[in-house]
Amino acid sequence: MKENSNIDFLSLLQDEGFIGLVNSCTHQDELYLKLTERFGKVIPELADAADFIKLTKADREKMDAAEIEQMWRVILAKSKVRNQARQKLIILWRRISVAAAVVFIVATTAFLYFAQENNTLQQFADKQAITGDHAVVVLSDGTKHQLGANDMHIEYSPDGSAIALKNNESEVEKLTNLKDVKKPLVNQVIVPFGQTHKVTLCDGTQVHLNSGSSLVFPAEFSGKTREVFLRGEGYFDVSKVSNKAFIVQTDYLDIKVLGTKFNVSAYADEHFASTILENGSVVVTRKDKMIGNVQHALQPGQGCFYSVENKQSLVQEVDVNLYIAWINGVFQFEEQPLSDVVRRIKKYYNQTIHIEGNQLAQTLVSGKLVLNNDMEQVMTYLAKALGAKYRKLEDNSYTISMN
Amino acid sequence: MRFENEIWERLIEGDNEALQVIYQHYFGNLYTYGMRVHNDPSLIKDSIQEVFIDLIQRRSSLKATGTIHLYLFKALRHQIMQELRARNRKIEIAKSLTSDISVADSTIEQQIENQETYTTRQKVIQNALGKLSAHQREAIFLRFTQGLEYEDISRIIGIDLASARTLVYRSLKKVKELIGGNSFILFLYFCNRHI
Repeated sequence: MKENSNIDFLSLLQDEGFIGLVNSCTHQDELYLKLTERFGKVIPELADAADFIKLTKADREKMDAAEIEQMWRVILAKSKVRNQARQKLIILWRRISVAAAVVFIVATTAFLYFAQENNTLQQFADKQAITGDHAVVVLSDGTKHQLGANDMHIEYSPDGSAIALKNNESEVEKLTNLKDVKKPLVNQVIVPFGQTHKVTLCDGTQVHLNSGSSLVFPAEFSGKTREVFLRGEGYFDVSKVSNKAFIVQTDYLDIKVLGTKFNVSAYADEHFASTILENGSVVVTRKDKMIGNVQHALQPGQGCFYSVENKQSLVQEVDVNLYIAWINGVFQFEEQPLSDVVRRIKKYYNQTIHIEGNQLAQTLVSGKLVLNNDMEQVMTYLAKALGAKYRKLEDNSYTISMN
Repeated sequence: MRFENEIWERLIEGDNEALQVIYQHYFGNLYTYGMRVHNDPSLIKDSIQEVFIDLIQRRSSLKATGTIHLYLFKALRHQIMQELRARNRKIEIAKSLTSDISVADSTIEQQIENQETYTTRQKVIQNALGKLSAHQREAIFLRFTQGLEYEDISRIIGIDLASARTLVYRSLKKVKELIGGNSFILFLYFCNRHI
């Protein structure tokens, strides 16, 4: 019984019998024998089809067993958190009815405790204004270290004691944090306008800091949560550490995560503070009230915007790229008033730009600017797109106008 | 099938161990499937986590069914599509900006380099597979790696039966084209090894 019809790649691979035959053979020689038995001889198409079945059957992505385990722990932790969130209200009501006073005391104590915790990082940030021409690292003992160049990488060792300063990933300098057993070691990185830098915290979390930003953090995360304070803008790639949430505090919002990628913008001179979630999940908590603050859980691709003036927040789907492009030196915007775009450029280059006329300032612009170019180029590009002109004045400031 | 039925029943009854068994048993297949749907490890890992978190929370309302893998594949695909939709991809530079999106070809090429044991013929087929679109790779994975019926494939992807057949057929045709002229020369190697 030799079959000679249907020996072509496509027909063979649609033939259940053939697929079954190939899959039943564990050894190549056995396969060859069976194929010869059935088809008389093994022709190229037959060999292709057989190899195709064998190869696709064995198709498997490699993955680290430890990571699979770790992921399972995260799944359990997250489902627990979400369950708790769901049941929180019910439990709260029960407690109030049973022992309102107890709840009140517990809540107040907890609140005071947390308020105090928060303050230490925030107070630390308040001590240092974001000024000057150089980025500064403030060490645990209060010593300040100036960074020599723009676009540096500040890398903390796992125990927070050693700090490597890198330029284009080659190490240029080493700093040391003094160990103080009693006090937690609070450090700070201040990035002036006109620069961006990257910080790797002791847990491996990476933070890109945009121009005019300040990040306060403990050199080593010793508490139950990992908490940092940000003023300005930062893009966070948070390392997953099981059961140790990462909290970014800002003046207006707190952002709580387990491990994920997101952007936080909380400049003191902007109308909105925002969190844009690229990956994973975060919970954003407003800080405008003493208790019972509004919370938003974000899905990837969503942004939470908080109006500083109106104390109102809004969650909506966004184009994440618009908000994180800056970490690669690209500024992307879609239908934003020119005044907003110019404010960003001012921050990045640390230069003054005037827009002549309200109408021009309100013009909605879309596009992208490569901020790694020099400012002259960016201004030329912008003016050309607007059909406007720009002038550079003697004090190095710029003016954009329609004529 | 008996294993599936039993473990699924235990899951619905609230057996935590059953959950972990399901996770460990299906993780490899789910991860590979996810990577065939969309080649982005971090997105796939996040999606798998979401699928299981969802499974944990909804388990009491699940129906008794013997096809866990179909349920999981479908849920994972749905989750991946949701995440992709959320990431608005209308801007061209997206690819150069998100560092964790890798090009589909690279993993296949790495596999080839890593495994010297492959014959030249197998390398050519691997190469051809690497050049398929995500949709085509997904179809090949479901049909050949998983050995699923067209009906199941159509349910997982959410297309009708005829479309599922056409999709698999077109994917195979593309493989055939890509293997193309190399076939005869390679055949000589194949014979040499067996004569």
